[in-house]
Amino acid sequence: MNTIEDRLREALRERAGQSPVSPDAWSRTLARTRRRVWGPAWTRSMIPVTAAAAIVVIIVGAALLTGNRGQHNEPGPARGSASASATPPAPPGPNSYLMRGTPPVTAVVPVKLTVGGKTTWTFVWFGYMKSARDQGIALCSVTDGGGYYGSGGCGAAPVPPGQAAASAGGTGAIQLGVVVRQAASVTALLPGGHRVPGVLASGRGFPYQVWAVVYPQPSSAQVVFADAGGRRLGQLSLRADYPTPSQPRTGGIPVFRYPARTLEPSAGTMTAYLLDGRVVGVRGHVVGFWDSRSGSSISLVPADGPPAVKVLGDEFTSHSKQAYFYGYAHENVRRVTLRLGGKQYSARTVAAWPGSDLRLWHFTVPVSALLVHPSRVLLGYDAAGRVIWQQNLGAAR
Amino acid sequence: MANLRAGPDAGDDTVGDVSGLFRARYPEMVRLAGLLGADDPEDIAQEAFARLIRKHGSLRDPDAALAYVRSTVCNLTRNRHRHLRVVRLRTPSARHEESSEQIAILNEDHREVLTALAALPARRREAIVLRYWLDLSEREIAAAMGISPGTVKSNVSRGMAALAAALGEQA
Repeated sequence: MNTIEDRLREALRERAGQSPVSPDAWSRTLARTRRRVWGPAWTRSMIPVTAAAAIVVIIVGAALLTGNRGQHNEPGPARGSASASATPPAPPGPNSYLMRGTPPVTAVVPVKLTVGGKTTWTFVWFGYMKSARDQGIALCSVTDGGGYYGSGGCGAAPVPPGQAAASAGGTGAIQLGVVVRQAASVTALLPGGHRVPGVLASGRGFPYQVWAVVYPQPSSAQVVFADAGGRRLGQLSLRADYPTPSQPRTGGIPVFRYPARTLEPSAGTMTAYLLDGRVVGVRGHVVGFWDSRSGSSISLVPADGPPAVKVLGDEFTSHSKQAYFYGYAHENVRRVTLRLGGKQYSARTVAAWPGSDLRLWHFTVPVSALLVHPSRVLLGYDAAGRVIWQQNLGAAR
Repeated sequence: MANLRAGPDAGDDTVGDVSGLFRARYPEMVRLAGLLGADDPEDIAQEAFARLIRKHGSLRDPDAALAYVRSTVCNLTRNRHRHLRVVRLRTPSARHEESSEQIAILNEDHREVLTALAALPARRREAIVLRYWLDLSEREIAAAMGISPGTVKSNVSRGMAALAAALGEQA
């Protein structure tokens, strides 16, 4: 076999892998055999070719179709809705980190949600994570607008055998997951009897429907799925995020500045605070980082104890080409290094609050490098250059 | 791959037989239609299987059934291209192209190869896809395309030469 044949076979194999298969293909095929007029769809339709190729379906939750029933009980700041007519922003580009890490094998579908009175768009699609292909099909989401700026992620999304739905986590007040096609509505039942209708979305090639509900955090919720006849198909119990303390007014140490259109639309500063651990249920002190907008990362690991390096952020958005790694380390850790394959990214630690025996650190890593080298190892060095701490951070997102 | 299950009509012998073939080969037929340049590969593959269900006699021999579906996919895709050519003549803006998403997520070298492949005459492209993606024999390709094995040979050979020229390599 010569070179051009190799290239041809590989190209055909890759292109073939991008043809999605609908789960209801068999029923659609049978439906064709029952038609009186035979022929491929294009012979039966006057839909323009380009439009037919680009059709994306958004299924609105039954509760929303019936006039937002149940929203009178809604707690206020967060609710979900979907629309096929409102104009969504541009979807994440093919070079965004999530698209590169998990290329879509389905349509990329925009879902309109309202969080805290502001419109947000969450783009969802299915694909296979390059760093964890063996986990099977994954659901990806990226949210923009409102208080979100290109945040999201991908996670394995099979519906377990015998169950109707699964959770894929979420971002902020937005919770997402997958549910079987029979589902016609999704509702989050909150403590106190509040009912929050969610939305169901589907698109070309989706193996499942995607569900989304929006409710204020922290709160636990029972997410209930029902079919078109109102019969309950299943439910999920979602735990509350841990309560986030308010940003302290004093005692902050600016750790790094980030440019506009990276972590937020405008430039900002990430600032570290030493917190009283009781506010997050941890004895002793913990460390928290707040960015200029109010987003925060709080450690649930006590700040005192044996020598350690704690990563609080390995953050990047779909708009950012750099990932921001930051955290704290104990007094004897003078340098923190991230190993990505043969490459290293590192920073010297700087002294934090007097008497705390803590040091702060941060560095940036190109997102492209994170995607190329799936294994990530963080090392802590002492003043003599000895490795005194090591942690495998696992695969990149 | 999605979990494909037989529908309510699966009790019928014909449909039941086809459902097994469908489970085993439907994704492959969708991919074949996609590689041949169909703008809606699933539509092509579903129509091919629907025609098979209506063609009871072919179900006696599973190999013949598969060859029938494969051949139908090739024919329908070719017809689809003819239809699109007419659409383009009538409405110049209604061009079929792979979505930018599909193109962009391909490896750059693969994109170059597939662009060169797409520029070949339909028959040569079909012969090459059936040969190098499905690894079919010349006889099987001939059956799928409805041409003689000798014509298959010349289509593959000329197609590869054209590909090599387009990619600046020696076939």
